Amino acid sequence: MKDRKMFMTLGILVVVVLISALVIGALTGRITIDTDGEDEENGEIVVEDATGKEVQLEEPPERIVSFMASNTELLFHLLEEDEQDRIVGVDDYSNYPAEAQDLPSVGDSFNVDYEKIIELEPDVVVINQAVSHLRGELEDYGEKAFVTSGESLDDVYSDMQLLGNLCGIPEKAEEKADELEEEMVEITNETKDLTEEERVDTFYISDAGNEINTPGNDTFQDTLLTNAGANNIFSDKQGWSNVGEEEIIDREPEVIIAPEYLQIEVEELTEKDSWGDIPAVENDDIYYVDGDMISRPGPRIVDIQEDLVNILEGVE
Amino acid sequence: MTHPLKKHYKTSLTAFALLTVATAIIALSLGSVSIPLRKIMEILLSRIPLLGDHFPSHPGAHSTIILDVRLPRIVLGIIAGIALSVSGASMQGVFKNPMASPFILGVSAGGVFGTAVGIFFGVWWPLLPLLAFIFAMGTTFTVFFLGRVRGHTDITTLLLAGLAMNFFMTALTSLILFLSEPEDMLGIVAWTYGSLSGTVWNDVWITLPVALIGSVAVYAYARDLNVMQTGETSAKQLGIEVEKTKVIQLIAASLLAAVVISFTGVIGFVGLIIPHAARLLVGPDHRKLIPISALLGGSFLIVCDTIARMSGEIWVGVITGLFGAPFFIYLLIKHRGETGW
Amino acid sequence: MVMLEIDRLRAGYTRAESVLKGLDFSMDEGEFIGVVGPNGSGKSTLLRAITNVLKFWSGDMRLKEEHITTLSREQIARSIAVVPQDTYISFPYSVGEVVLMGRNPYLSRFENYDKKDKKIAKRCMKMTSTLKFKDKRINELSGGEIQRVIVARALTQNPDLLLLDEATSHLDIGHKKDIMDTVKKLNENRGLSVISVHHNLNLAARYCEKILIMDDGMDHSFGAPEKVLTRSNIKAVYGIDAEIHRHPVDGNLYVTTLDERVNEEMKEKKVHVVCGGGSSSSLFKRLIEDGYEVTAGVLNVMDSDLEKAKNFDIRCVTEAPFSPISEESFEKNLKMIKEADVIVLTDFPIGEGNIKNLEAIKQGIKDQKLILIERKNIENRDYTEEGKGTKLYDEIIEEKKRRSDIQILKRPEEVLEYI
Repeated sequence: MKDRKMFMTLGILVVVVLISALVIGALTGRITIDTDGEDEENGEIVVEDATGKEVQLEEPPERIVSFMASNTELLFHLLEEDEQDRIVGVDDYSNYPAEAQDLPSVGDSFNVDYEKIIELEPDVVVINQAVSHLRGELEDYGEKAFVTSGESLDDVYSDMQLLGNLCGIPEKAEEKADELEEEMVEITNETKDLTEEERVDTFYISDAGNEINTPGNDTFQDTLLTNAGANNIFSDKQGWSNVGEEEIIDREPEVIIAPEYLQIEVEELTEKDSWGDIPAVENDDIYYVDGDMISRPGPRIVDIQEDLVNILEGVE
Repeated sequence: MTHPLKKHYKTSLTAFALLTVATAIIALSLGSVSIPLRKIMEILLSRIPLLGDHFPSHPGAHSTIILDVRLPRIVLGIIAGIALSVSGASMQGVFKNPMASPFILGVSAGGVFGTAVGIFFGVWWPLLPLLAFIFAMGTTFTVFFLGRVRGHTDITTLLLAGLAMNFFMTALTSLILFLSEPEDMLGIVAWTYGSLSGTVWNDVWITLPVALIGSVAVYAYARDLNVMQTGETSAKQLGIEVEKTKVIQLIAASLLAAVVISFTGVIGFVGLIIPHAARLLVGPDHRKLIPISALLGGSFLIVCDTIARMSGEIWVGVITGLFGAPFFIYLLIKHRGETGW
Repeated sequence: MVMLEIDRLRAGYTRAESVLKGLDFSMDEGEFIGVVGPNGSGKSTLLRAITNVLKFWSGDMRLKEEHITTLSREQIARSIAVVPQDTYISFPYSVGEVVLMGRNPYLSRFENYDKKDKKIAKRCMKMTSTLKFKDKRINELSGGEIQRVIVARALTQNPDLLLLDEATSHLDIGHKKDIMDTVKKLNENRGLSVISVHHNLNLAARYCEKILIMDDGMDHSFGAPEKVLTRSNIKAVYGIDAEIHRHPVDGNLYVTTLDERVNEEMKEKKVHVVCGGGSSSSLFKRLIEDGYEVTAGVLNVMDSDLEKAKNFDIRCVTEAPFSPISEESFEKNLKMIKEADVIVLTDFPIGEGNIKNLEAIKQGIKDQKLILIERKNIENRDYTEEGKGTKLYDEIIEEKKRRSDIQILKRPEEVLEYI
């Protein structure tokens, strides 16, 4: 019927036009109203960030917004006290050092307060790989983003260098990074290269709620634990995964470690009858550590590393 | 009194248009950073070519916030409100049923699925709206062709096909949710409640023409929609091209809904409630109903989004639901037993 | 001039089955044609085909010399208007808005109804006495009022041909007459051509100058009522026996069906019911169920009590629709009364037209038992001059009281106990 054909062609035409519009729009990037008349590409300093992108600035940034807690700690660690006012805003989770808590808050990764960020007029906003998608939005609003890695233990040293480059203190950063690395080597001297039999079977709980979550072999926590002489019973896993009770019981961990804020949940678990035969529970080798330190690849790795070494030495 | 504004159509139209503008300006002045109203007005006025030279433009953070953060969001809110309301009015007319919403042909279920697929497979994020749109319209066209019986669009079959596809796409989405990481899940769920946060001008440039074309198409066939209310055969005998009208209305309505939700996620209740409220005010004549719904929808969504914004970026769909559902229940109770209200 | 010409039309809803199987038909301008036929003969299908809503498969149809397939929907709508059996409107449009819709075929895409359109609508509403409803919501009106509004809407189309698709089937007698009279007037005064589908033969006979009897998708017979409504035609098409009468006053034809079944079994008692206007309630059912031989009279054709009686094959004395009781019917009724064992007189309204029913009872009653149903007092239902009816009624009662075989009941259900 000629009607049908007409409708079909009409429909297809419309859809094609619209899809083209969307694709073109999506791919040609964002269009913004040029409000400040500032010339964005006129940079004296070019710094490469963890993604390989080159960020151009006129001079080392005087106003920095730090968007991830680990970055905040690194920045405060790098900058001298009188320079620390270069940090003008942080996210809600940046709670260390104490000075960070007094700084204006710009929301968190689920709820970015762009208005606040813009109001602070930063020269650069420091984020990391976990929230790399924010780069696009920040650039839409006319802000520069600098991305660090923030995932593994080694990232601490490289991120430190990157941030040092950004802030115009590359030699200092190198120094401090080396310092940190040396400290770490010292702390883990005896425990780093233990044989499998010598290691302590360890179970680390990263989350306990509906599911029990634990880090696998490519995680930051796993590195810390292994350096401290642990044998992560779930090192066969990748990333953070949920594990079932049966597996945990089956692998017979000698020690259970968890962040402080999970204490109540963990106690509930360990008090269960089914957990009674687990060596760690029998011997009451359940330890809690600072939840922030063990999840932030930052300057406090030395502290947490030491805690872990001590805990594991005390077992058996 | 029934249909109190029926005889004051032109005045109402002007009044609601002014209301929309007023709401927009108030919304512009609210946000986590406080900016004085006068400054806002100056910033806005300075953007007008020629005339604007008389006003200081206050370059700086505040200007960026107003022009690049709040304004695009508010404009998209108006566009979305208009598009969803007009779409709802059209659907209710075609299905001759005040319970119809813009999403009954599967637009929202398809869109959610498209987004879920995109997030799950880590698709480059600027393409997510495209994916949502493709699946939204794809689902609608499937429903549409299921509902065609011998070259004629059968309303009942269409309804059932829409229901079926809704269930199917929702089930598929649930599967993806089950397989997803928690962060992804959050993203997908957030999308089902809609949000205007992070709107940039690009989003506006894409949705505006589509919303315009869709609304004009719906309005152009408003008179036909009226006549169709007395039965399809009667309408044909009164000279109406019934099949053509149905197709145009349904495609336009679906496009309006699809293009909006591709960028904002599924904002519910607007398409259902606003045409009702409009109908109570100006009566069922679609030539009046559609423009009034559009304006009401625009201001309503701005209000809801401003509340959402100020309450820590609650998903705007939650706010429209919190307003919409009780209002709907109130309407139900008040008009029980009447036809069509 | 020829208004509509149809040659060998074949049409249907599914390819597998033809509803119209080669129909031939033609009508001139200004004619008022009735279309009758049993269910499934294709009457509604024919109307749909005429407006080209249903596309026909073969044959030809010309509207005023133009092939209907060459005309657009709008062109057809400017010439032909349809009033369907009933109309359901889903939203609360006002009556005025609904009537205005009839002007749609004269408007282009972006045009709106203008003053001229509104004037025409007003005029058509006046013609159907619906102007007073102009601002009321259509769903607040009764069925009959809504039909009149739809007729008004059809008229605003300014059609040359009006199609009524059993338009009065769901209406009561008064409204049926109203609408048919209005259309008849338009036909006579303005030359409006009309094709009216009826399932009621008598209505068709009364208003239409020619009747088309359809049978199984074909034109069976076509012509003036006298020629076409014959016993043999009705037997052939409907399969029933009928009697054709000519009304003594206006000469109209009317048809009644006979249910002359000789009762083999001897029934207990013969009960004759004098009723009308629905006052028989459930009497017929109960009496038949209890095995009585029931007769009734005099009932006008189209009276609902007559319809009820016919459902139970009850022999009735009938009278032409809208007519007073004739001598002939009176005598028949009297005869039945004399032959009955029990007379039941229900509480129908008494008027000049049916007062003879009371007279028949007065004359014919002797030893028969008399049962009166009085849900309403005689005074409240006496529409005769100077209370003739009441006087007669009271006289009957007095007579019977003396003989003490009279029962006055408040409820028809009690009849069975007192027979």
